[in-house]
Formats: sequence, C-alpha cells, structure tokens
Amino acid sequence: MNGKPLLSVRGLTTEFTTPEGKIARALDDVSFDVMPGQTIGLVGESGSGKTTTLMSLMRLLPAGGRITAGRVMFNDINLLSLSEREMRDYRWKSMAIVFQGAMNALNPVMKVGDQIHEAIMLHNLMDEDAAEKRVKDLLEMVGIARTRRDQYPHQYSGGMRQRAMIAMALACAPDLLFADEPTTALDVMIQAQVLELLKEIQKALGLAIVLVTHDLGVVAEVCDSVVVMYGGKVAEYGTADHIYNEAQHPYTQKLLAAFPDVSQPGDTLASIPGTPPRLTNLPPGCRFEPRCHLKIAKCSQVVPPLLEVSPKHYVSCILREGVEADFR
Amino acid sequence: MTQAPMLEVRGLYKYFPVHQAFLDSLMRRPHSNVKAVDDVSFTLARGEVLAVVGESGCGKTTIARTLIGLETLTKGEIVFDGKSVNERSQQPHIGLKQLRKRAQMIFQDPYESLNPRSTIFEIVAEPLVVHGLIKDRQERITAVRTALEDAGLRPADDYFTRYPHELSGGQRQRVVIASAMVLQPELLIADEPVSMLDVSIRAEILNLLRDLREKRGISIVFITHDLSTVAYFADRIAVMYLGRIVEIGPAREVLQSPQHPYTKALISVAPVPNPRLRRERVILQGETPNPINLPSGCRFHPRCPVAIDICKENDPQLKELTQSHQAACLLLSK
Repeated sequence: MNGKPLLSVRGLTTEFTTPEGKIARALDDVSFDVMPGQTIGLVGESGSGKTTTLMSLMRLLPAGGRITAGRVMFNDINLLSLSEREMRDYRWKSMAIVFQGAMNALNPVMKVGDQIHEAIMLHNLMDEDAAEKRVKDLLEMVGIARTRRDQYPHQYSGGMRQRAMIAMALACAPDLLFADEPTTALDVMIQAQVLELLKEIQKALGLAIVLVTHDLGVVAEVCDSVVVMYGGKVAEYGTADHIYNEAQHPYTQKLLAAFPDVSQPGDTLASIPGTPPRLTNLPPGCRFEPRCHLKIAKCSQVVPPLLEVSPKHYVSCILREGVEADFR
Repeated sequence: MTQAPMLEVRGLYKYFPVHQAFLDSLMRRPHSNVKAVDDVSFTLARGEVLAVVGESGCGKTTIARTLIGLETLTKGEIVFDGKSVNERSQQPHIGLKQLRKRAQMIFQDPYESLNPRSTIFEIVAEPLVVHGLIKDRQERITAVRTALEDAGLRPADDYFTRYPHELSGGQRQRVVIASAMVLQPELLIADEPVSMLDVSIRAEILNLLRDLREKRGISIVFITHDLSTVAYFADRIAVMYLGRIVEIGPAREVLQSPQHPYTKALISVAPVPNPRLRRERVILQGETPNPINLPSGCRFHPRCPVAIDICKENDPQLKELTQSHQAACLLLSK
C-alpha cells in the first residue's frame, strides 16, 4: 500500500433525522483509504452503516440524512465542499455505483442497451454513434452477447441483469467503482461468475473497487483490504490478511468464528448473542460493549479510538490500548 | 427392533404443466412440462439430517413442498414412517392432517411467513388450535412457553403479546421454529432457514436447529444453496441439478472427496473466509438450462468441464461408489 490514495475518507459522520424527530447517527468518524487499482471491502451486519457510507461518499443520501463532519478527498479535492452542480461531474464519470438489488434496479420498460446509452449521453461524453458502439463494447466486456442489446430486463436472468448493471456503471469509464452487495441475491455459481468478472474488469481497466457486503467469504476471495464496520463505526481496518488471520477486535474474531467454512467442516459455529445496537439509542461507550465477551468496566464509559496496532492495521478496542494491564 | 425409516422417497416426479396457448392446442402440439423433480429417490433415517443442495431451479424447494403435501406428486411414492403420503395409494396411507402434525416446515423468509396481525402467542398456538390439541388453556400456555423457550426466546412470557414487526429477523425465525416445534414433530423440513439472516444471527439459528435435533432426535431435511452452512450441520448431502440428485453421500465424504463434476464445481466456488487459501475455482459458464427442454444424455453435459462425447447420448444413473455414497456420472464407471 504505497503511493497516494485515490479516495481518502477521514472522520466521516452522517446523521439521519427519524420521522419522530430523533437523531440517528448512522456513521460516526469513519476513516479509510482506497488505493488506485485496489479492492477494499466494507463488511458488517445490517444496519452497520455500509450502504450509508457509499451513499455519503456519492452524496446521494436520502431525505433526512446529512453529513455532519469529515472529509472525503478524491484526487486532492474534498467532495464534501463541492456544490451539487460540481458533484454531478464526479458521479458516474469518476465514481460509479452498482446498487444493491441490481436485479430490480433496471428500468423494466426500457431496453437494457438504451439504459446504458442514456447513462453515456447524459454525461455528454461522445456523439450518438460512438455511444452506441460503446454500449455494445460494454455489454461484451461483461459477457453479454451484443445481440441482446435490444432486449428488456425481464428477458435477462438475474446474473445477466447484474452484469448489465456493472456495464452501466462502467459506461463513463470511472476510476472508482462502488458495488453494494453485488452478489447477495445470486446463486453461488453466478456469484462466482460475477466476482470473477469484477476481478477481470479491475485488471483490464485498473479500477479501484469498494465492495460492500455482509459475506466474509466474498471479501476474502477478492479484497486487498477490509473495513469491518459495527454500529456505524470502524471496528477494524487492515489488509485482508490482517483481518482474517490476525483479527484483533473481538467483533471481528466473533464474526469470523460465526462464518461457516466449507474447507474445515464439523466444528461448532460460534454465535454472537444479542443484536446490533439501535442507531437512535447507542451505548455510551464502545458500540460492541453490550455483546462483547471480553468487555471490562471501562468499555461502557469510553469510546475507543481507532488505533494503529501494526503498520496499516487499525483496531478500535481499548483492550488493545495497553489499558488491559491496568484493569487486571 | 428395526424401525421403518422416517422418510422414504421412491422415484419421485413432479411436473408442472406449462400453460398452452390456444393456437397450440388447436394445432395439437404436445403439452410441455416443467420437470421440476425428475426421478428422485432417497431415504431419511430417524434423527438424521439430510441436506439438499443446489442452485435455484434445481427442484429442491419443490421436493420440500411435495414432501409436506403442498404439491401433489406426479409420479412416485413418498413413505412417511411406513405409510404412504399419497392418499390415493393402494398402500396404507397417512392423512394429510396427520402428516402435517408429525412433519413441519420452516420457510425461508421470516419477514413474510408470520401473520403481521397476530401476536406471537397466537402464532405459536395456532398449530395446536388447527389440530385440536391441548384444549386446556393453562396447558396450552405452558406448551407455547416451552416452545418459545426451546427456540431461545427467553423469557417467553415477554413475547406473548408482541407482534412480528417488533422483532428482529433472527427473533422472527425463532418464532417460526417455535411454531413448528410446538407440535413436537418427528420431521422438520427447513427451506433455506438462514439465507435471509445476518451472519452472526445465522450461526445462532443453525446451532438452535442442531440442539433441537440432539435433544428431540427429530429428522431434518435441510434445503439450501449454501454448501458452507451444510458442513456444520448435515449427516448426509444430496446435490441436485435440474430436478435430479447427481450425488448423495455422507456430508464429510461428499465435501472432502466430491465425485460428480458439478459437486466439485459447487464446492470450489464456496467462498473460504481466508485470503491465504484462495484456490483455483471451477467456475461453470452460463446458467442452469430451462427445465422444460432438458439437454439430451447427461443433463449436466452442456456446462460440464470434463464432458466427453458419450455424455451427450447416455443419461447416467446413480452409481454406488461406496455403500453410502452414490454419484451419477458416466466418467465414474470407467
């Protein structure tokens, strides 16, 4: 991980106002870097803030949501300081997103090719003919026959729709691709095909990819580095090897133990008792404290900072601070 | 004493007729069928967990629905505890209501399988009402309480008056399990019970099912597309492709030395949560063909990485590799 990051997120904090008027802090002080040509995985359970992170980075938060603090540097420009007009120049051209549930994200009454065509034309990149050629090239790149350009989404299978969504995201040749649960609704074999496709595209185009998923197996297969999120905060952040083989945060350790491994069957599965915290009613200290098996008294009082425990490996747990000795 | 197996399925077929256009019937074109289940046989011993694994459209859910009588079978025989499930059968048969008292199903989506307007108590007590069991109010409350507690919802009384929308996904799936277990069934059919849940919750539900099985000795048919959850849980695995079992055997044996090329491919793409173990993966191209017009010969040959010429012509039968392990591939007979 040398060189300058393509995207650098620092202290990103996002809040939502609920219909009852309560404030829900969906993201709290989230920081990570995306290097050019690298794949980074955002993992966590439902409600941990993975999708909110993507939406905040794209500045596509739904009504009621706002970014209250932080910096998002994309090639030395703070995206959060841009006007809405300027931000539009970045979306799709510099950073594109493959939305969650891509199966249903296509317009059902519009030909697939036309939808990709529209994405290109909206950004005034080229003339009609060049755009048409690009549509077919894109379809081919994701493994869809050019002849299926004029078909409607219902004529595509789930895996093909997901491929079409990827083609559309690539329409304006972005440097950065966000993929929100791109394989979740797909069968294992189709899932493997889509992951393989993402890897190929990344190699061919030198894309950086931010992959959001709850599936630790998917992350292990494709990611270079991993951000483990819990309750809107970064619990642990490091290279894939750090996370899978030297996990330091109790949550990461538990999450890994709860994940069934087909290569080592038969052991018991560890579960994590309890449920993730409600964002409107967060615990005062560490977010994971109520469910943690290693907690000490201080955990419920102090919010642990994100500490670098070894080069490029960050953990948010006060047990790693050296306080451990003081309490024993 | 040798007991009859819990469940015996012999030559099961389930075809769904495809709606025919008026013109086609005028032209006397033959009816076509979706061959959802096409000659499937297996047995399930008492207290055994059989996992049925395969991609969408391979017929695994249809088998589950047929077992519990939600679909009528086209051909074949399902024998539950020595009695046929088919009410038209010549053999001694078991009534549908009797069957459903002793065999229960858990559906995939806990967000849709609970009545949003019923309280948890009503939901869990409903099977008792339907079957006219435990009429006494106090005893019924006790039975519901035990079922909820066994399903890990403690203290059970706190849940009685709550509604499904107040519960998390994992809790809802526990309610589904409680209402299946309140009848004390001997057979549980679980159709993708954890695929909608988060990883940390998933483990809890799998462990719960495992405990119930150990405590009550119930048999489970566990339907899933996810081989990695199977490894923890099943005694035997049946791998299905396009309506047929292509490999069946003891879980460990199938996972560690798969014989059918489809099983090998499925296992190779199951994600392993360790980047140091990234392996060579066999990624099958294309998707499962449509089950109306099945490929000739071996139905897997168009996607098979090792197919040879005879695979296009000969339809392989399940072949015994060891006493308990069978696979249907022509290459194995060589």
